[in-house]
Amino acid sequence: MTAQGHLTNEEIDAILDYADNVKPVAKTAVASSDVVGEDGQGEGGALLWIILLIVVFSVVIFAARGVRKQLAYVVAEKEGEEIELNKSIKEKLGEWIVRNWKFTTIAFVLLAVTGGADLMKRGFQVGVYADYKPSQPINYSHKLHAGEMGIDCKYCHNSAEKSKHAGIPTVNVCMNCHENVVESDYRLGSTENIAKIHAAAGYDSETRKYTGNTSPIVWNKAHNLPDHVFFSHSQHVNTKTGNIDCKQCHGNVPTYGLGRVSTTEEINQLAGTDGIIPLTKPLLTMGWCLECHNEKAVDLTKSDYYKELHGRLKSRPDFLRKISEDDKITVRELGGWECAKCHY
Amino acid sequence: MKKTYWKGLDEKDQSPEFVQNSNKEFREDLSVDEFIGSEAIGDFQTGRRDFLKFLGFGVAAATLASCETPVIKSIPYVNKPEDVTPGVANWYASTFYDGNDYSNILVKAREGRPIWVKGNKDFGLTKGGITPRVGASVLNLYNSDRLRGPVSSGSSVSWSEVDADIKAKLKAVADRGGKVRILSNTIISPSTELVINDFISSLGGEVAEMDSSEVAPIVSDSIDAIVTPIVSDVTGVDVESEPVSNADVKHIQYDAVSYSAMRKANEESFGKAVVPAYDFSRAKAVVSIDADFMANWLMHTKYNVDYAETRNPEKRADGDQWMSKHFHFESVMSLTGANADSRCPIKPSEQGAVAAAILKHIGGKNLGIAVSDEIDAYAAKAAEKLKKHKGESLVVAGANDKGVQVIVNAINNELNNYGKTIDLDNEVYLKQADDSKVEELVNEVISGDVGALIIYGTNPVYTLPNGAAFGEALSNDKMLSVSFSEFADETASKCTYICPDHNYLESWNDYKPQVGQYSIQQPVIRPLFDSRQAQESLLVWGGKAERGDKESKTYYNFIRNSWEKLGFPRQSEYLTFDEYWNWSVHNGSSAPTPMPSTSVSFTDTTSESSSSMNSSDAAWEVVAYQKSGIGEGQYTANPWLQELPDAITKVCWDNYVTMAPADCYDLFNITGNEKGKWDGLYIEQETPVNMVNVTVGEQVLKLPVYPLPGQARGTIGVALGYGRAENQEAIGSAAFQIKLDQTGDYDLDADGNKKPIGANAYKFTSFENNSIKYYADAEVADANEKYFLACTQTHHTIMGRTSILRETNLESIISGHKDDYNPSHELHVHTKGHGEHVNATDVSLWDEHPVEFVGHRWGMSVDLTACNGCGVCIVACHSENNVPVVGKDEIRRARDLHWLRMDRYFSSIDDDARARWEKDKRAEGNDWSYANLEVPEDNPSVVFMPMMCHHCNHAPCETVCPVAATTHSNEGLNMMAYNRCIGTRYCGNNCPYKVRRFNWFNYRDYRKFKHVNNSQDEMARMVLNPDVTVRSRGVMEKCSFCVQRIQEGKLNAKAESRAVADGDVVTACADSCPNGAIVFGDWNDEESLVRSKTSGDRAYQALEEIGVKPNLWYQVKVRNVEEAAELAHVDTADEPHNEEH
Repeated sequence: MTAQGHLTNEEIDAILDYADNVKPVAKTAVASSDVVGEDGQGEGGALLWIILLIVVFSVVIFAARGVRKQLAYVVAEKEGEEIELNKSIKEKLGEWIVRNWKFTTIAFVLLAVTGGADLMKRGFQVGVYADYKPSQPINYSHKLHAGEMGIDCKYCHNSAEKSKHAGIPTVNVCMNCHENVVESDYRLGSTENIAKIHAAAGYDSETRKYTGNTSPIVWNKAHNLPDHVFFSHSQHVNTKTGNIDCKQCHGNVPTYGLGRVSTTEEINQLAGTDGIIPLTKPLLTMGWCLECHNEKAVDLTKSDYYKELHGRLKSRPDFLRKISEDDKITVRELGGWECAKCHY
Repeated sequence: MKKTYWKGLDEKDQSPEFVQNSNKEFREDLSVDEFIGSEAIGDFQTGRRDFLKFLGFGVAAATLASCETPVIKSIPYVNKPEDVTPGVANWYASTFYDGNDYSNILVKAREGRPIWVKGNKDFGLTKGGITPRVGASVLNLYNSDRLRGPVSSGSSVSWSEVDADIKAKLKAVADRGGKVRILSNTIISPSTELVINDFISSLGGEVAEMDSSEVAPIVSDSIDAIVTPIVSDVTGVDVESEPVSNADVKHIQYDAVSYSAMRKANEESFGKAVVPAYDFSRAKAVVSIDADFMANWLMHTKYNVDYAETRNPEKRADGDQWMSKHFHFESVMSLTGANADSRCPIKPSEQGAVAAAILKHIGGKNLGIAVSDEIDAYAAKAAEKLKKHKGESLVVAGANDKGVQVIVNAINNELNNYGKTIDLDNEVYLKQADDSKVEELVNEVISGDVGALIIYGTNPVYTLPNGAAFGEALSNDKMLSVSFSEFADETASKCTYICPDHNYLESWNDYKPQVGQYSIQQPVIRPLFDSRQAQESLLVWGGKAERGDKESKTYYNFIRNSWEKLGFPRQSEYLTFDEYWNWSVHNGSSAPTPMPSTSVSFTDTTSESSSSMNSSDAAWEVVAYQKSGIGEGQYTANPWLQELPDAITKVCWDNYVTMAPADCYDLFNITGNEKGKWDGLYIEQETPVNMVNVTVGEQVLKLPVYPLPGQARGTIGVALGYGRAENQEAIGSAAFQIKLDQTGDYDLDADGNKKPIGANAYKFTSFENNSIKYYADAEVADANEKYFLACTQTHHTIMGRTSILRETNLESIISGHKDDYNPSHELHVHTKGHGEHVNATDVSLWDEHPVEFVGHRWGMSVDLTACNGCGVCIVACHSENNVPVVGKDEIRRARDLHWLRMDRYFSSIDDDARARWEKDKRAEGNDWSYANLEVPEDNPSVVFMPMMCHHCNHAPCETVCPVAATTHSNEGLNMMAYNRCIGTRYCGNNCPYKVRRFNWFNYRDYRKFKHVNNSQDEMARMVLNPDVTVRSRGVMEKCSFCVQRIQEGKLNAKAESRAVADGDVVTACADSCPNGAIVFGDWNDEESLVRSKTSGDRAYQALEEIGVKPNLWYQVKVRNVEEAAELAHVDTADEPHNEEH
């Protein structure tokens, strides 16, 4: 184990104290928020059902119509009445429309407007991942680890400051704790989930030895950006660069179970704390990115890189005055809205 | 006299198709015609109803598909290697050596996948010098046709079976006193040498005196004393007791392109059979007789960099201002010849005569070999310069002919160059083959005398003059034949066993390219397949190691131990071996320990040796030469190298006969009047070229003819390295000809076999006077057939705006004024009713784009003097930016996607008889007449010009984009948002530099590209750079100034809290350029190199006069020629302007 040089004596005492007096967490039923999510979006499924129902009903209606018609013929034939057989449905429909032209026009316009609006709304939802929570091979709880235990985000997602990827934790990171934490009564199935980590790491929890038979864990990615978007965690998270709190984009993760994409509304509730800016567009859309780039001020003093940049700006006072009119220089004003910042 | 620049003969002669196409950006008309005119179109039976059904279904399917959220899997490491951070590249220092190229390199790896290679500029012998072959080598690793495991007689077997069989058979051969032969390329790895010698002695063979002079003095006892401690340390296996003693085991080294005559000549002249170290960086006068020392000759990777140092026209640190003077004599225009100050076309049989003439003119012995007056005049001029720079000059010859090499030795000796520019004491270990021994072995094998043959790192069936006979002998069951080839290639497929070696990126090795120079090759990726290091195989068969698995460290430990025992004691820099080893691995090489030079005693044997020199009076002489992309032919199946236009001819994907244009007129009966007409000389999309049958002895090759300006009359050139896999060997899918249509299928011959690309010119070589001769007397006959070549030379023309190029001579740089050789453009403008001349850059329709002083302004400077057109940058750009490979047919249609192209312009200067005549028509002896009008294409000079997006601050492309897909950044970048682009191609049309490229297809899954595009192959896809989007169909793309590297460089600076400095942000082309011709940086940083370069006297902007304000500057090309080259056409206000402004 690495030396914990940064801990003070009091903190060490507190840890030991906690370890002595730890109370087992009461067994709870499976939290509903942790139920393994669906792979697809619910909306799409519902739409499919509606279409299917419409088709079924149409078939029923047409069949009923046909039966009715047959019956009418039979009745007419019996009563010796002459029926207009040669008038087609098309002609009948045409006549009906002409008769009720006011109604049909209004209906058509209404249908077109609402339908079009609905289509547009739906269109904008395509590829929007807000509130997306895919199922996972291990029913991991952020609530337990990041919430109750207070483990820092960057302990597990440790490449966030160094790389464009925050990184899904590698199994060896899990094993830092789960070499010793081999069972849990946090909730039903917790021990089985830990066993899955051990299986992946090739760890025998009985003998506390590694067997060497490893098998990687296949996670389902929650935060998906299109292939032509290059987002760098390092640029945003690193204290010398963006220095943005994880919550700005990921919400209050310590309250989540499985990893999920947050929603704008949830994050806006956190606004004001830790420099979080309220936004309006759906999460992980380009509009949402640009909105923040338009609001967020760049701290030109925190790094020599920005100091140099600021120095150069001073030689163009007109430009500097223009961009600092609102007392802040935003990401956008330094080029944060330019295509090639993210698309290349 | 006006100097004219032309890219091809069609441009020079202004052929009708050229004129027609020169005003077009895209030439897509054909494919529409082809489609509409196609017979097959009548067969389509799609009715209106069907069409509507498909339409409806398509819309519904697309809608449904887009509603579904795809689940994307993500698999983290189980145990993340400590030094790997996903998303951050790792760099490893390593070494590339394949028997032809030697380079100290740096390999970029992402998540354990090597994706990019560049030269190591900080450590090692080659100082960053690489070739396109080295740059593209990373793609060879992912070739799907690599063997997945050992193969015995065509079927795969396990390593344990192979080992048991081979051991038993070897023992049987050794026991009965049979011959065991190891045939390899030149082994420059000291550890491999030890392994081979140990293997020989384990079979009871006698090890020849070790060639490595440095090993011998340390451990003088015997081979066992060197190997035994190492081997038993390594493996813990006891050395086998008592080997048989009567076995005949030999190791023979064979170079496909051999320099054996040079070693023999040096033995004769100096008593040492060595290749000396040449120091081009100290040579003020260089004469090369057919030695292509920039791209192919010996240690070209180093020579190229050294030579470039002497070609800097700027004032040097010591206050001097000089440039080397370079004379070149050759038959086929090579990269080196194209860069020479003075180039003289000669026949190959005249090489000796040229050398003799130079020897005579510098005051040496007169050997009495006749040479034509014209060549003699060139030789005299060269000799004059050489004499002026005694001790600071260098004469080199490429011929594998002892006679020529002996005369060259005499010249260098006469010039007092030994011990100065030529170092015999620090010999180069490359190319150690002795052709007479090779010939002997080949005859032994053919006559069935050899019991066991192990072939390592060489492909003799393909490269030997009599490869076919050798191949037949290999198939003989009585002989045990084993190959270590990565592929079942021409040779390996005929061997009893193939025991595939690791790729060089998967394995450890060490190299000793020159005395006192040691370098390390380290693995960058875990072996992809069940291959095994060849050295480990030999150790196993020699009973010195046990078979290891993929993680086997046998050979790693072996190298480590040999460095500990042999290398560590010889250095004094490090105290512990671990420190020494770790730094050597980190740097890729250890600090050089050269030998002190000793005195040279020269024995003059020129008279005797020159009598055996080749001479010829045949009508045609054929030269088998190497191209800078294909080289010896190991990587013919590498699509990046095939797609790389040849440096001189600009032909992709093909092999051809180069012939002097004048010879073409004669051969194909084109009389003067018809010269400007369609006759197969102009290479265009719909203009095939003529084919000829070239006959040398019994070998007949049918090849298309490329009329190459500068080719010596009466000679033809055929490149080596083509015609691979004639018997359908699996060496890679891109090795075969593809049909010129949309199917992308292989072009099959009458028997249903895939046709190889080009023909094998090794068939024209022969063993003569104990060395392999690479030229021959030939017969050339019109084959009365036509053939399509894909040639980029006239694509994307600059529409007659020849002011794009500027060149001058050294004299003007030293004593002239900038306005003489690099004047600024002036425009005639009308202001307030009167006309005046103003600087072209001061006039603009647009407001200044706010890039100056605001943040960064990325700028690039390209020095046309330092650039030698080698093409390393093109390959670097290809692999950095995932530029799709499009294949021959698309290139033919001018749809190549190179973001960076290398424009090659021919021009005629030097000794222009006409110029003299025009100067003074009545002067004494001025007998010029139209009859002997100099033919410009006989000996043109060449200028190379890298051309990529200029990132204009007033970009014409940006203003015409209807959807704002291409816009300008405040850092001066011309950005391209692919997802916004709707493909109107208006931007490409409006680009004055013609650097925008259109994605005509989905190259990553359209059938046309299935055999050529690496992103269609699940292995080769791994080479893609994850930092750059793979573009889809229908969008424009172009050079981005490697914006992904800019973003990365800025981020690194931010994270480290410092300003961006030179070197933080370097584009792929600048990063890989061996000669530092391309400089990239922040122009707003007044301290930056790019800023100082662009404010120098030589800096100019291409087409400055059209006012697009590019962020790319060029430096005027400077040649060391006597007469100031007439300046390229420079627009002045007085000249009429036809162009739109």
